[in-house]
Amino acid sequence: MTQRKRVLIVEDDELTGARLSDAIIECNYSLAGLFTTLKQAKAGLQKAKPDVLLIDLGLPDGSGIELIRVANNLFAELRIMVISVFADERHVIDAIEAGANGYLLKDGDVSQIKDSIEQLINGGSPITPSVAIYLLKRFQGTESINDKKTSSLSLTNREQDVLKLIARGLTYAEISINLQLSVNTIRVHMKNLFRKLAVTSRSEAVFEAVEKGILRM
Amino acid sequence: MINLNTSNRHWVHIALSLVVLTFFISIFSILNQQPLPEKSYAIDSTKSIFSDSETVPPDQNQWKDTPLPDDWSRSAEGIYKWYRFELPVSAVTSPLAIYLTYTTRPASVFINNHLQFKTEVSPATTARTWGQPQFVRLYNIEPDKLLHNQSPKKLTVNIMLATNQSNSGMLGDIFIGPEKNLFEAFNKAFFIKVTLVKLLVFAMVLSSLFVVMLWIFRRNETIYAFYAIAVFLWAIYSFSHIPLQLPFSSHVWEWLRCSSMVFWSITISLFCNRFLNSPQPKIEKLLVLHATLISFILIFIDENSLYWLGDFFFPAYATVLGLYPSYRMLSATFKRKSPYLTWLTMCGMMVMLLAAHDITVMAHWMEPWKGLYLHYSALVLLSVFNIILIKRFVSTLNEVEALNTSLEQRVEKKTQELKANYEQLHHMQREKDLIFERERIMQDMHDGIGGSLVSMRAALEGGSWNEQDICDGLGTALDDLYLMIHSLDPYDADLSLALGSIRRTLENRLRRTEINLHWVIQDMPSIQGLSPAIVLSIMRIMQEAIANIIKHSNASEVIIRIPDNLPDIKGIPDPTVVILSITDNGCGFNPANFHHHANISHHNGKAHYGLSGMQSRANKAGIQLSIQSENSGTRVQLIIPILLG
Repeated sequence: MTQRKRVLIVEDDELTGARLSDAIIECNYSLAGLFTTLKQAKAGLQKAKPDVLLIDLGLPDGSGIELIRVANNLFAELRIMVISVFADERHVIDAIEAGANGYLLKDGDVSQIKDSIEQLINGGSPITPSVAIYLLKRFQGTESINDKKTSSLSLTNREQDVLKLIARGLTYAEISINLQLSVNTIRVHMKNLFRKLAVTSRSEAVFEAVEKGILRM
Repeated sequence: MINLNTSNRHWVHIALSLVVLTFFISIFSILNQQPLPEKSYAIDSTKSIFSDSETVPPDQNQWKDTPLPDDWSRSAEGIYKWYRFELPVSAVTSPLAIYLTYTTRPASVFINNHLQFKTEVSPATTARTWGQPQFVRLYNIEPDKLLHNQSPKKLTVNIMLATNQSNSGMLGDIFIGPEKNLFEAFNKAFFIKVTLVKLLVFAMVLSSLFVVMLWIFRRNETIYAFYAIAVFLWAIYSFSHIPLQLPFSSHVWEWLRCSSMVFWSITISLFCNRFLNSPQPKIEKLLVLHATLISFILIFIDENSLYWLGDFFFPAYATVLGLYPSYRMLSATFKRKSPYLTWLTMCGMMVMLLAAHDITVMAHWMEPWKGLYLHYSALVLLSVFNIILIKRFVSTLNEVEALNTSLEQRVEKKTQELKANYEQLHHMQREKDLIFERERIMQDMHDGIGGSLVSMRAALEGGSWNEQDICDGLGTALDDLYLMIHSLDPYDADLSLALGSIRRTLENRLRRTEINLHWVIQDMPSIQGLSPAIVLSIMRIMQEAIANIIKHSNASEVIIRIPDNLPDIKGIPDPTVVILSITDNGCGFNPANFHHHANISHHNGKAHYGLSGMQSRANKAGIQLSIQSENSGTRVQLIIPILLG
């Protein structure tokens, strides 16, 4: 029997925090901690050793994106999901580029949150249709700018199909019927897609640093 | 630093041109002087006699004492005039030469009655050789032989000179001396009086041709044409100073010479008027007409008279005619004070002066052997005019360049203005769009979440709501908020993407009443003009349809299908629309009954627009709404044109 997954929650709203904690315990995961500020989270992250991080972006003392970056560098296997009230383009892209693996809105009910956490732990990337639209736009936008620079950022046809169907509101199960793929394959496509974004954001940062003369190669 | 104003500069130009022209004339008068070469001596007294014979007249004839130079203008008594002088033998050292500084016709020279030199020019030649120098070598004469045959003490030299058509002739100084010294002097004089004139004629013809070409390419600028004609006519006049044989009769040549002089003055007048940019058509017509008339009359004049007219009358006549352009140029010079005009006028004055000089020479009022000067002034006039021409050309180029630059600048300025205008327009459009969107969102909030919240507060204050009611009311308000937010997603004319995000909202609601939602959404054509407002309208119609299903249908299944373009009778679906259908398996209703209820009622904090509300939303968005209801279920269809707006 594998060890129970440790889930860390960073959420400033007490009620939402409690709701999430309940869901985790109900799912039989271990609660690694519940932090309400960025400062707290940064300090306690190392000790908490989470397998999963559920994080709100709008923390009272800073942006959760910073924490995603730190946590992602600290734990290679960490699964990170943003849980936010709204999904606007900048936050979605920044969070995913920083290393988030999923993006959920707080409008869902408890069962949905449970499903998403399960999906996340199983290597999936739960995102809302709106987030999928932003991702589609992000890939289309960069493809047209510079082929060389964004070669790693171009999607395969399958990845594009999967993303489009998610944007249309389809579930993994429906997509698997639609595209005649296994749910697992869809999960792999999503994983690759997220990795591409994170990698690209890093290579773009390096590219930019070289361009600006900050970094010498 | 000297600061010259226009007026002062004008006088500087006048002074400068006067200095240059005086210098030029001085040089030519110096060059025209013929000093006695070294070791040579001049024959200043001869005996002369008129004769029609080409053999030396015998001693017993009436030889007259004649000093040199000798001018026998219009007083010839024979075809030839013979001159004779004697040289002491002691003067004869070989090689020896005779240099005739000035002859009006080619001379033949006899030494001790033997023909020493004969020029092969027939008396009928048109050349006037006005003052041409001649050189006779005495190489092949052995002094001993000459001495032996004749008187041992002296050599007798006879010179035969033909009379010209106007019974005139001249013989200038005769120099005798070492061949080398005399030849140098002869060469110098020959260059100035013959070679240089030839070169000048050549330059004039060339210049005339060049300017004619210029005129051909710029027909409007008649100034070039007149300049070319004037120069060409002058070349004809100057041509008569060169001894040459013509391929046509000398009568024609004389006519040409006289006519060219008159026309020369006329074309100069036309040229000057154009240079001054003030033609006087009436006077010009009169001038041309009279010149043509004169040329016509001249056809009927005999050759000898033409010759005389060409030498004595027409130069003077042309000069008088030249007073007209001279006056115009002079007055313009002092009015306009333009440097180029000043120089050209000064040159013109010089031409007039030299013409007057030549007239007095040809009329024998001055010592004729000083020579004619007029044709040399062409050198200066051509130079000045060519400089003006080049300057004009260059300034035209500069002007074009300047125009181009200013044009570029203006285009650049206009471009900037256009850009600024465009930006302003763009900005205004954006402002307008923003205002429109703001008003739309405010209206939507008022109709949706705002209305919900107001009625919720009223219900709470009235104490009529329990916890579940509050929860439902808040859920509805939040759902509406999410609809508004999702209607703003970047779906880029793809309705399938715009709808994805409301699935969960609809599904959550249906799930509470245990109704299953089937979400069938597939590729569809882009919808042009799909705005957030229209997307929100579609979402709200869908939401209303779902609300109706929950409330009234008792259905267990709902299918939302897009596109649901069923084939028509011919089996072809309508490609100009996208159909969204919401179908349930409920009990159905009679749509006719519902259409009358246009009222809006608030229940549980939710604004109910009913079917009429759905209909009016659809109408506003340009969408056709179709509702079919039966006992086995209801189908709501949104027929959305792919070209909206």
